[in-house]
Amino acid sequence: MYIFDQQPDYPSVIASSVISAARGEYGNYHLIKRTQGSNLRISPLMPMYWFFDLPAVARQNLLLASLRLTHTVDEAWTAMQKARQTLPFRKIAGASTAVVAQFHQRPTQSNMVR
Amino acid sequence: MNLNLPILDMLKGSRNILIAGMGGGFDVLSGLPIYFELESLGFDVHLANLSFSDIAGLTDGEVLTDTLVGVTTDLQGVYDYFPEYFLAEWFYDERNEEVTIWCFEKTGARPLIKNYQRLVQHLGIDAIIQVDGGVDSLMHGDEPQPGTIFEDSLSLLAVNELKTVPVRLTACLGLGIEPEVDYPYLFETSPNSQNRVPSKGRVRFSKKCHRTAILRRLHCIFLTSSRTIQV
Repeated sequence: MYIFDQQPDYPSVIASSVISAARGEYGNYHLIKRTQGSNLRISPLMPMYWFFDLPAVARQNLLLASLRLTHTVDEAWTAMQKARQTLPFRKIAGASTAVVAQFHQRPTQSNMVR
Repeated sequence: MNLNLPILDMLKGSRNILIAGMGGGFDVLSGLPIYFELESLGFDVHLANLSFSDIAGLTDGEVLTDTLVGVTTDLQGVYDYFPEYFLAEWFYDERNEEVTIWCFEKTGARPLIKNYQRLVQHLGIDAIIQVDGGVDSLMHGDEPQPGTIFEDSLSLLAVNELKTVPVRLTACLGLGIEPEVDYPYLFETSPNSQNRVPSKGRVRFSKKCHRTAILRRLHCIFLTSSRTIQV
Protein backbone atom coordinates (compact mmCIF):
# COMPACT_ATOMS: atom_id res chain seq x y z
CA MET A 1 0.00 0.00 0.00
CA TYR A 2 3.01 2.28 0.58
CA ILE A 3 3.96 1.97 -3.07
CA PHE A 4 0.38 2.66 -4.16
CA ASP A 5 0.54 5.88 -2.16
CA GLN A 6 3.85 6.88 -3.73
CA GLN A 7 2.60 6.41 -7.28
CA PRO A 8 -1.15 6.95 -6.96
CA ASP A 9 -1.76 6.98 -10.70
CA TYR A 10 -0.44 3.46 -11.19
CA PRO A 11 -1.68 0.99 -8.58
CA SER A 12 -1.29 -2.73 -9.31
CA VAL A 13 -4.42 -4.73 -10.05
CA ILE A 14 -2.66 -7.99 -9.09
CA ALA A 15 -1.26 -6.70 -5.80
CA SER A 16 -4.53 -5.02 -4.81
CA SER A 17 -6.55 -8.17 -5.55
CA VAL A 18 -4.15 -10.31 -3.49
CA ILE A 19 -4.43 -7.81 -0.62
CA SER A 20 -8.25 -7.85 -0.86
CA ALA A 21 -8.35 -11.65 -0.88
CA ALA A 22 -5.91 -11.97 2.02
CA ARG A 23 -8.14 -9.60 4.00
CA GLY A 24 -11.06 -11.95 3.41
CA GLU A 25 -12.95 -9.99 0.78
CA TYR A 26 -14.90 -11.91 -1.84
CA GLY A 27 -16.50 -11.30 -5.23
CA ASN A 28 -16.73 -7.95 -6.94
CA TYR A 29 -14.74 -5.98 -4.37
CA HIS A 30 -12.65 -2.98 -5.45
CA LEU A 31 -9.75 -1.85 -3.29
CA ILE A 32 -8.47 0.68 -5.82
CA LYS A 33 -10.15 3.14 -8.17
CA ARG A 34 -8.42 1.73 -11.24
CA THR A 35 -10.57 -1.41 -11.30
CA GLN A 36 -13.90 0.39 -10.83
CA GLY A 37 -16.29 -0.54 -13.58
CA SER A 38 -14.77 -3.97 -14.19
CA ASN A 39 -16.07 -7.18 -12.69
CA LEU A 40 -13.58 -8.58 -10.19
CA ARG A 41 -13.85 -12.06 -8.72
CA ILE A 42 -11.85 -11.86 -5.52
CA SER A 43 -11.49 -15.36 -4.09
CA PRO A 44 -9.52 -17.34 -1.50
CA LEU A 45 -7.43 -18.83 -4.33
CA MET A 46 -5.73 -15.51 -4.88
CA PRO A 47 -3.42 -15.28 -1.86
CA MET A 48 -2.06 -18.80 -2.43
CA TYR A 49 1.37 -19.48 -3.87
CA TRP A 50 1.73 -22.16 -6.54
CA PHE A 51 5.26 -23.47 -6.96
CA PHE A 52 6.55 -25.21 -10.05
CA ASP A 53 9.82 -26.60 -11.30
CA LEU A 54 11.00 -23.86 -13.64
CA PRO A 55 12.60 -26.05 -16.35
CA ALA A 56 9.32 -28.01 -16.53
CA VAL A 57 7.34 -24.81 -17.04
CA ALA A 58 9.84 -23.76 -19.70
CA ARG A 59 9.46 -27.10 -21.48
CA GLN A 60 5.71 -26.68 -21.84
CA ASN A 61 6.00 -23.12 -23.21
CA LEU A 62 5.74 -23.36 -26.98
CA LEU A 63 7.07 -19.87 -27.66
CA LEU A 64 10.52 -20.00 -26.05
CA ALA A 65 12.34 -21.45 -29.05
CA SER A 66 11.27 -18.52 -31.19
CA LEU A 67 12.45 -15.98 -28.60
CA ARG A 68 15.87 -17.49 -27.93
CA LEU A 69 17.92 -15.57 -30.50
CA THR A 70 16.33 -12.17 -30.17
CA HIS A 71 18.20 -9.05 -29.08
CA THR A 72 15.68 -6.23 -28.93
CA VAL A 73 12.19 -6.13 -27.46
CA ASP A 74 10.65 -5.39 -30.86
CA GLU A 75 12.45 -8.34 -32.40
CA ALA A 76 11.24 -10.61 -29.59
CA TRP A 77 7.68 -9.32 -29.85
CA THR A 78 7.56 -9.92 -33.61
CA ALA A 79 9.05 -13.40 -33.17
CA MET A 80 6.44 -14.27 -30.55
CA GLN A 81 3.53 -13.02 -32.67
CA LYS A 82 4.86 -15.02 -35.61
CA ALA A 83 5.17 -18.16 -33.51
CA ARG A 84 1.65 -17.67 -32.14
CA GLN A 85 0.27 -17.45 -35.67
CA THR A 86 1.78 -20.79 -36.61
CA LEU A 87 0.17 -22.53 -33.62
CA PRO A 88 -3.39 -23.76 -33.99
CA PHE A 89 -5.51 -22.72 -31.02
CA ARG A 90 -5.76 -25.57 -28.57
CA LYS A 91 -9.16 -26.97 -27.77
CA ILE A 92 -9.99 -28.01 -24.25
CA ALA A 93 -10.06 -31.80 -24.11
CA GLY A 94 -13.55 -33.03 -23.41
CA ALA A 95 -15.07 -29.63 -22.76
CA SER A 96 -17.63 -28.32 -25.19
CA THR A 97 -17.40 -24.69 -26.24
CA ALA A 98 -20.65 -24.04 -24.40
CA VAL A 99 -19.18 -25.25 -21.13
CA VAL A 100 -16.10 -23.10 -21.56
CA ALA A 101 -18.24 -20.08 -22.43
CA GLN A 102 -20.37 -20.76 -19.38
CA PHE A 103 -17.26 -20.81 -17.21
CA HIS A 104 -16.23 -17.42 -18.55
CA GLN A 105 -19.59 -15.76 -18.15
CA ARG A 106 -20.44 -17.23 -14.79
CA PRO A 107 -22.11 -14.49 -12.76
CA THR A 108 -20.52 -13.73 -9.41
CA GLN A 109 -22.09 -12.70 -6.17
CA SER A 110 -21.22 -9.07 -6.06
CA ASN A 111 -20.02 -7.27 -2.99
CA MET A 112 -20.34 -10.30 -0.78
CA VAL A 113 -17.95 -9.96 2.11
CA ARG A 114 -16.66 -13.03 3.93
CA MET B 1 3.44 -14.11 9.52
CA ASN B 2 4.63 -17.66 9.04
CA LEU B 3 4.39 -19.28 5.63
CA ASN B 4 4.26 -23.01 5.31
CA LEU B 5 6.59 -23.00 2.33
CA PRO B 6 6.61 -26.31 0.44
CA ILE B 7 9.96 -25.52 -1.19
CA LEU B 8 12.24 -25.53 1.84
CA ASP B 9 13.43 -29.08 1.16
CA MET B 10 14.55 -28.01 -2.27
CA LEU B 11 16.42 -25.03 -0.85
CA LYS B 12 18.30 -27.06 1.76
CA GLY B 13 21.66 -26.79 0.02
CA SER B 14 21.18 -23.17 -1.02
CA ARG B 15 22.60 -20.06 0.55
CA ASN B 16 22.06 -17.11 -1.79
CA ILE B 17 18.57 -16.95 -3.22
CA LEU B 18 17.39 -14.59 -5.94
CA ILE B 19 13.70 -13.75 -6.03
CA ALA B 20 12.98 -12.26 -9.44
CA GLY B 21 9.77 -10.78 -10.76
CA MET B 22 9.25 -12.28 -14.20
CA GLY B 23 6.42 -10.39 -15.87
CA GLY B 24 7.53 -6.86 -15.18
CA GLY B 25 5.91 -4.06 -13.26
CA PHE B 26 4.81 -5.15 -9.82
CA ASP B 27 5.72 -8.83 -10.00
CA VAL B 28 8.58 -8.44 -7.55
CA LEU B 29 6.05 -7.39 -4.91
CA SER B 30 4.39 -10.80 -5.24
CA GLY B 31 7.67 -12.30 -4.03
CA LEU B 32 7.90 -10.26 -0.83
CA PRO B 33 6.17 -12.76 1.50
CA ILE B 34 8.65 -15.43 0.35
CA TYR B 35 11.48 -12.93 0.73
CA PHE B 36 10.64 -12.20 4.37
CA GLU B 37 10.09 -15.85 5.20
CA LEU B 38 13.37 -17.02 3.68
CA GLU B 39 15.24 -14.12 5.23
CA SER B 40 13.90 -15.02 8.67
CA LEU B 41 15.12 -18.57 8.10
CA GLY B 42 18.66 -17.27 7.62
CA PHE B 43 19.01 -17.30 3.84
CA ASP B 44 20.66 -14.43 1.97
CA VAL B 45 17.82 -13.28 -0.22
CA HIS B 46 18.04 -10.80 -3.09
CA LEU B 47 15.32 -9.11 -5.10
CA ALA B 48 15.23 -8.47 -8.83
CA ASN B 49 12.60 -7.50 -11.37
CA LEU B 50 12.06 -7.23 -15.06
CA SER B 51 11.38 -3.52 -15.09
CA PHE B 52 9.03 -1.36 -17.12
CA SER B 53 10.93 1.73 -16.04
CA ASP B 54 13.73 3.36 -18.02
CA ILE B 55 16.61 1.34 -16.58
CA ALA B 56 18.97 1.93 -19.50
CA GLY B 57 18.52 5.67 -18.96
CA LEU B 58 19.67 5.59 -15.32
CA THR B 59 23.05 7.13 -14.63
CA ASP B 60 23.18 6.37 -10.92
CA GLY B 61 22.48 3.22 -8.91
CA GLU B 62 24.73 0.17 -9.04
CA VAL B 63 25.24 -0.30 -12.77
CA LEU B 64 26.29 -3.86 -13.66
CA THR B 65 25.55 -3.59 -17.37
CA ASP B 66 23.80 -1.00 -19.57
CA THR B 67 20.55 -2.82 -19.00
CA LEU B 68 20.98 -4.14 -15.43
CA VAL B 69 21.03 -1.68 -12.57
CA GLY B 70 20.77 -2.09 -8.81
CA VAL B 71 18.21 0.45 -7.64
CA THR B 72 18.52 1.96 -4.16
CA THR B 73 17.20 5.04 -2.44
CA ASP B 74 20.35 6.87 -3.57
CA LEU B 75 18.78 7.45 -6.96
CA GLN B 76 18.31 11.14 -7.76
CA GLY B 77 15.08 11.66 -9.59
CA VAL B 78 11.35 12.19 -9.38
CA TYR B 79 9.31 9.27 -10.63
CA ASP B 80 5.62 8.79 -11.22
CA TYR B 81 6.06 5.10 -12.11
CA PHE B 82 8.96 3.16 -10.62
CA PRO B 83 7.74 0.40 -8.26
CA GLU B 84 11.27 -0.93 -7.73
CA TYR B 85 12.52 2.44 -6.50
CA PHE B 86 9.51 2.88 -4.22
CA LEU B 87 10.07 -0.61 -2.85
CA ALA B 88 13.68 0.32 -1.97
CA GLU B 89 12.30 3.48 -0.40
CA TRP B 90 9.76 1.46 1.61
CA PHE B 91 12.52 -0.81 2.95
CA TYR B 92 14.45 2.29 3.99
CA ASP B 93 11.55 4.22 5.52
CA GLU B 94 9.65 1.40 7.19
CA ARG B 95 12.35 -1.13 8.05
CA ASN B 96 15.47 1.01 8.12
CA GLU B 97 17.15 -1.31 5.62
CA GLU B 98 19.13 -0.56 2.48
CA VAL B 99 17.87 -3.14 0.02
CA THR B 100 19.01 -3.11 -3.59
CA ILE B 101 16.35 -4.02 -6.13
CA TRP B 102 18.08 -5.32 -9.25
CA CYS B 103 16.26 -4.14 -12.35
CA PHE B 104 16.47 -5.74 -15.77
CA GLU B 105 15.65 -3.42 -18.65
CA LYS B 106 13.05 -4.93 -20.95
CA THR B 107 15.23 -6.32 -23.74
CA GLY B 108 15.26 -9.26 -26.11
CA ALA B 109 16.35 -12.70 -24.89
CA ARG B 110 20.12 -12.50 -25.48
CA PRO B 111 20.80 -9.41 -23.34
CA LEU B 112 18.39 -10.66 -20.65
CA ILE B 113 20.18 -14.02 -20.43
CA LYS B 114 23.53 -12.22 -20.15
CA ASN B 115 22.15 -9.91 -17.47
CA TYR B 116 20.86 -12.85 -15.45
CA GLN B 117 24.24 -14.58 -15.78
CA ARG B 118 26.01 -11.44 -14.65
CA LEU B 119 23.75 -10.99 -11.62
CA VAL B 120 24.05 -14.65 -10.61
CA GLN B 121 27.83 -14.31 -10.79
CA HIS B 122 27.84 -10.97 -8.96
CA LEU B 123 25.73 -12.16 -6.04
CA GLY B 124 26.88 -15.80 -5.97
CA ILE B 125 23.30 -17.00 -6.49
CA ASP B 126 22.63 -20.73 -6.05
CA ALA B 127 18.83 -20.71 -6.22
CA ILE B 128 16.37 -18.64 -8.23
CA ILE B 129 12.67 -18.27 -7.54
CA GLN B 130 10.95 -16.49 -10.37
CA VAL B 131 7.76 -14.86 -9.24
CA ASP B 132 4.72 -14.19 -11.39
CA GLY B 133 1.91 -11.95 -10.19
CA GLY B 134 -0.88 -13.96 -11.76
CA VAL B 135 -0.57 -17.30 -13.51
CA ASP B 136 -0.12 -16.46 -17.17
CA SER B 137 3.51 -17.63 -17.05
CA LEU B 138 2.08 -21.17 -17.00
CA MET B 139 0.38 -20.74 -20.36
CA HIS B 140 1.72 -22.70 -23.30
CA GLY B 141 1.18 -20.07 -25.98
CA ASP B 142 -1.46 -21.89 -28.02
CA GLU B 143 -4.42 -20.66 -25.99
CA PRO B 144 -6.80 -18.15 -27.59
CA GLN B 145 -6.30 -15.80 -24.63
CA PRO B 146 -3.00 -16.53 -22.90
CA GLY B 147 -2.79 -13.23 -21.01
CA THR B 148 0.32 -11.08 -21.10
CA ILE B 149 2.85 -13.85 -21.59
CA PHE B 150 5.48 -11.93 -23.50
CA GLU B 151 7.60 -10.74 -20.58
CA ASP B 152 6.96 -13.93 -18.60
CA SER B 153 8.23 -16.02 -21.50
CA LEU B 154 11.38 -13.94 -21.87
CA SER B 155 12.21 -14.26 -18.17
CA LEU B 156 11.36 -17.95 -18.17
CA LEU B 157 13.67 -18.50 -21.12
CA ALA B 158 16.49 -16.56 -19.47
CA VAL B 159 16.44 -18.51 -16.21
CA ASN B 160 15.91 -21.79 -18.03
CA GLU B 161 19.23 -21.13 -19.76
CA LEU B 162 21.06 -20.78 -16.43
CA LYS B 163 21.81 -24.47 -16.20
CA THR B 164 24.54 -23.95 -13.61
CA VAL B 165 22.11 -22.70 -10.96
CA PRO B 166 21.05 -25.87 -9.15
CA VAL B 167 17.60 -24.79 -7.94
CA ARG B 168 15.22 -22.93 -10.20
CA LEU B 169 11.55 -22.50 -9.33
CA THR B 170 8.55 -20.58 -10.52
CA ALA B 171 6.09 -19.19 -8.00
CA CYS B 172 2.68 -17.90 -9.07
CA LEU B 173 0.52 -15.74 -6.86
CA GLY B 174 -2.99 -14.60 -7.72
CA LEU B 175 -4.87 -17.39 -9.45
CA GLY B 176 -7.99 -15.89 -11.03
CA ILE B 177 -7.02 -12.23 -11.01
CA GLU B 178 -6.08 -11.74 -14.64
CA PRO B 179 -9.27 -11.25 -16.65
CA GLU B 180 -7.60 -11.99 -19.98
CA VAL B 181 -6.43 -15.53 -19.18
CA ASP B 182 -8.18 -18.68 -20.42
CA TYR B 183 -8.23 -20.48 -17.07
CA PRO B 184 -9.65 -23.83 -18.24
CA TYR B 185 -6.53 -24.28 -20.38
CA LEU B 186 -4.31 -23.78 -17.39
CA PHE B 187 -4.96 -27.24 -16.03
CA GLU B 188 -4.11 -29.30 -19.04
CA THR B 189 -0.97 -29.92 -21.02
CA SER B 190 -0.91 -29.04 -24.68
CA PRO B 191 -0.41 -31.99 -27.01
CA ASN B 192 2.34 -29.87 -28.58
CA SER B 193 4.21 -29.55 -25.30
CA GLN B 194 7.48 -31.32 -24.59
CA ASN B 195 6.13 -32.42 -21.21
CA ARG B 196 4.73 -35.66 -22.56
CA VAL B 197 5.34 -37.91 -19.60
CA PRO B 198 2.40 -37.65 -17.23
CA SER B 199 3.61 -36.75 -13.79
CA LYS B 200 2.18 -36.59 -10.32
CA GLY B 201 0.14 -33.53 -9.59
CA ARG B 202 -0.75 -32.76 -13.18
CA VAL B 203 -4.38 -31.96 -13.66
CA ARG B 204 -6.59 -32.93 -16.57
CA PHE B 205 -10.24 -32.29 -17.11
CA SER B 206 -12.54 -35.22 -17.33
CA LYS B 207 -14.85 -35.52 -20.31
CA LYS B 208 -17.79 -34.31 -18.36
CA CYS B 209 -16.10 -31.15 -17.38
CA HIS B 210 -18.21 -28.66 -15.49
CA ARG B 211 -17.66 -26.03 -12.89
CA THR B 212 -17.87 -28.30 -9.88
CA ALA B 213 -15.29 -30.55 -11.45
CA ILE B 214 -12.98 -27.61 -11.95
CA LEU B 215 -13.29 -26.58 -8.33
CA ARG B 216 -12.77 -30.15 -7.18
CA ARG B 217 -9.60 -30.36 -9.23
CA LEU B 218 -8.33 -27.10 -7.78
CA HIS B 219 -8.87 -28.51 -4.34
CA CYS B 220 -6.76 -31.51 -5.32
CA ILE B 221 -3.86 -29.27 -6.19
CA PHE B 222 -4.25 -27.48 -2.90
CA LEU B 223 -4.01 -30.73 -1.00
CA THR B 224 -0.96 -31.86 -2.89
CA SER B 225 0.78 -28.53 -2.65
CA SER B 226 2.95 -29.67 0.23
CA ARG B 227 5.33 -30.69 -2.50
CA THR B 228 6.20 -28.89 -5.69
CA ILE B 229 3.86 -29.79 -8.47
CA GLN B 230 5.45 -30.95 -11.67
CA VAL B 231 3.58 -29.40 -14.58
